[in-house]
Amino acid sequence: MSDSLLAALRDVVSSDAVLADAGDSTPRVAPETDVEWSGVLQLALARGITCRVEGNGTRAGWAPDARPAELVLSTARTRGVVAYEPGDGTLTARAGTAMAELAEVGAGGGHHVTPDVAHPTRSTLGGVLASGCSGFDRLRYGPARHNLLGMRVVLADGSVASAGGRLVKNVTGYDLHRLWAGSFGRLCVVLEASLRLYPLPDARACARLAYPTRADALAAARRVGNEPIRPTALVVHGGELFVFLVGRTEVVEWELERVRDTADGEAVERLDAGAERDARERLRDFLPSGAPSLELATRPSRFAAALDGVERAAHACDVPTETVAHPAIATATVRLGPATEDAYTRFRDSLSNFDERVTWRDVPGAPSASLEGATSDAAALMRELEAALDPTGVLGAGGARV
Amino acid sequence: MKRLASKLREVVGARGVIDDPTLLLPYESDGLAMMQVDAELVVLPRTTDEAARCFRILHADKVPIVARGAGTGLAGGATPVEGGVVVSTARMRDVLEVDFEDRFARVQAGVVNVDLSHACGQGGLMYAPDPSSQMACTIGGNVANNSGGPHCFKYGATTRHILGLVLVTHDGRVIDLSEPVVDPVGYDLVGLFVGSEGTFGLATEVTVRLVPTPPVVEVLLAIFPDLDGACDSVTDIIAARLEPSALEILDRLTIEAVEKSVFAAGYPREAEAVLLIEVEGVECEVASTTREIRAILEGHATLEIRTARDARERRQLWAGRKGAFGAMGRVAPDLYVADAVVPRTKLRELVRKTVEICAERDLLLANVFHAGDGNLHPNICYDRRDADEVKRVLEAGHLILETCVAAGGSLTGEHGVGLEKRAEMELLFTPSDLDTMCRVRDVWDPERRMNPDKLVPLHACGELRTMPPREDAR
Repeated sequence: MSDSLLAALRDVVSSDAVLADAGDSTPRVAPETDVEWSGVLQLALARGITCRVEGNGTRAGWAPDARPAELVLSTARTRGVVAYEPGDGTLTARAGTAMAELAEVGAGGGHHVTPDVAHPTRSTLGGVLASGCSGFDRLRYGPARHNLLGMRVVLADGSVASAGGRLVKNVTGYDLHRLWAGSFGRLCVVLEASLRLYPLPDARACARLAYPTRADALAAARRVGNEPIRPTALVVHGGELFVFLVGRTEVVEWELERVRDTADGEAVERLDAGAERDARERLRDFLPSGAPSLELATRPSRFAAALDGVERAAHACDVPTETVAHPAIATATVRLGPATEDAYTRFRDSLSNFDERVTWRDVPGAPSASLEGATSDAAALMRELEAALDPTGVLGAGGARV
Repeated sequence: MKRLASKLREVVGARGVIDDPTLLLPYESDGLAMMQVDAELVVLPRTTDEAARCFRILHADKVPIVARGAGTGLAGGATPVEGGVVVSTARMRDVLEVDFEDRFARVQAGVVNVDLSHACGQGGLMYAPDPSSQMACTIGGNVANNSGGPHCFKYGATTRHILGLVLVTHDGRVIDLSEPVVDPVGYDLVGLFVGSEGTFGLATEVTVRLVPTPPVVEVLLAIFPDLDGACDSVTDIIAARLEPSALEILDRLTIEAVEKSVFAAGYPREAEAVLLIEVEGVECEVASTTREIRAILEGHATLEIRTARDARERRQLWAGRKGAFGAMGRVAPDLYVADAVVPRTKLRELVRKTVEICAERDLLLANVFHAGDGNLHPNICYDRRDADEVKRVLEAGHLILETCVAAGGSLTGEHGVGLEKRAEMELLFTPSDLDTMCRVRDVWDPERRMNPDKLVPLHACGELRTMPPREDAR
């Protein structure tokens, strides 16, 4: 099948866009234009080939293949900034563009590009949006989907469709881009997306507060979170609380004072610019791509107890953990250290009836990106959406969530 | 309909069904009065369960359903359809829960927008989206239209504030998507549903995100000798990456109408335009932002820049803006409120164009709009009894939209497509785009009984079409 497939692919894309071996004997194709993308999907549809969409693979393990992919569709050649409108505060780029490149372009015009995701040089815009992940800066700027203005995608039958637009305010038509974001390449391939930008801050600062225990740090985070300040991130790592502040210089200084006021006698260390950047990048990137982890999401009032529950369960099963917690938005990334397969299994089983939402990532055998927690009617609706947009399952390999 | 009314009364009680022709009159249109259809039957459930039972009855008889909040929509989204039933959320008015610690509230769909803010205000929180109709419009209606308002410039439209929904689908199934945690489970059905204008189902309960009320608020009123200066000031404020919470422009005709009305705000009648600016945050933030905004304003030949001295003056200035649509009733019996969005770099050019389009058709135009978001509201004053004038109004409305789309803009910033702009959807979207919307719509409502004929052009939901991109496409 492979030889004839490769030949057929070379008829619709340029020869160098087809790779016979993606390292796992699965052919890979990297279309560039809309016409090429459309042609490849139509070919896959005609031949009944199951495809997986891939950016740079940094979050590939978040939603492992539901069925084996016969063809990998790469956005590697679908790159570049399409439009940056500094006067309007918007940016449109193609899916394979690295987030770091977007940040650089935005910074050149005085804008901050959100989401500020982990591993920005390797993370692509399309991959970030398809995986539904948000940035380290979520507390201030919101989840990535809230700053997504519109998308252009290619569907499983090769048709190209758009939703939303490039404007900061727009309610014309259905917000299909909200459906496509977080669909892990199951409903479409993202070709292009437009983002709302924010002013690049005049100043940055980070306050580090050290406490004897994580519980103390979490309690301090609650106090800081109740202050009238707008951090980009409130992060607890062990017994340390980091408060990342951005904005106008005088506002950042004022906010630092408020943080000091809440410290309850504890020393507050202000990190200098270099240390601030190091701390931000270290905490943002603490989870290596492909490392087993789980993501906890709950409500702020239940957060500390939920996190304790997860870690108690891990330790009871001899699974080592390291946690970076964002208590103000009640999420935590728990990195799982080396353990036996049996230990991982027992740990997963022990959380199977956990009251809070837990998402497994890159954990062998775990139901990544599953619908646990969705009602049966909601899950049925999601399956119908898949069937409507991809009736034959052309994109059925890639990260099926349903 | 009589048999249907009787069945529905068994669910919602005698007061929950309206079939008296006199009492049905208010339901013949929403705020888009020029598009009227006689309502035949209105049902008013009180709970999700009642709504679901009503929907099952209507499903059995294949009756079209039009959901209605307060009927303040301006695009005909709640206009009845022949042979259909209007389902009103007017009796679903309970605030079910306000969680001050986790900053969310759960309300029934018929709760009035401003009542929600009152319910959470005592805890130092607020619900940010504030449409001009917030004294009347409902949270369910806001969800259906992804409504905006002046402060959406800072806080974003409704979709950014909805954490969860309880929905009733066309066949009476209840789908609970109400768990208020940060990200959706599976596909983002909530994000997809918001702004679907009643074509996917009826939201009966809404979980909303609450935000802290700002510690300091300042309101400026910049007075201009021409509309261009006001538009250019906004463009420059955006380009300077300043972050006020609202930027609203009112032109001379609007000012005159407001000042003659109960909403009189003290706007100077000699001005050709005023720009209302709100800045909020902590004290030093408000002070420095205001200082920089003032510098920009002074570079645009303002006649005067006023600062509201206290909360009473701030309320008064805002009352004028929010009452502007109502005040226009003094100018003409009817008001056609257009709702287009343009890139914020092109405000002056496109506002001028709207003025030209209306002048060429001898139409009276008042401009009052969310300038910070590029969301224009050219308000054309007319008399619906004058058929020729109605024709010219519709022609001008279409041309304004066409012009805005051609300049990189969009058809609607907050009112929705409804009946009004269905045809113009093809200005903005390709057949493939529209076809994809239809495929998704058919998943929610395969019989197309939910608000039929709204939002998507009728013929777009025909046979599935695949439109390969043109050869010259990138």
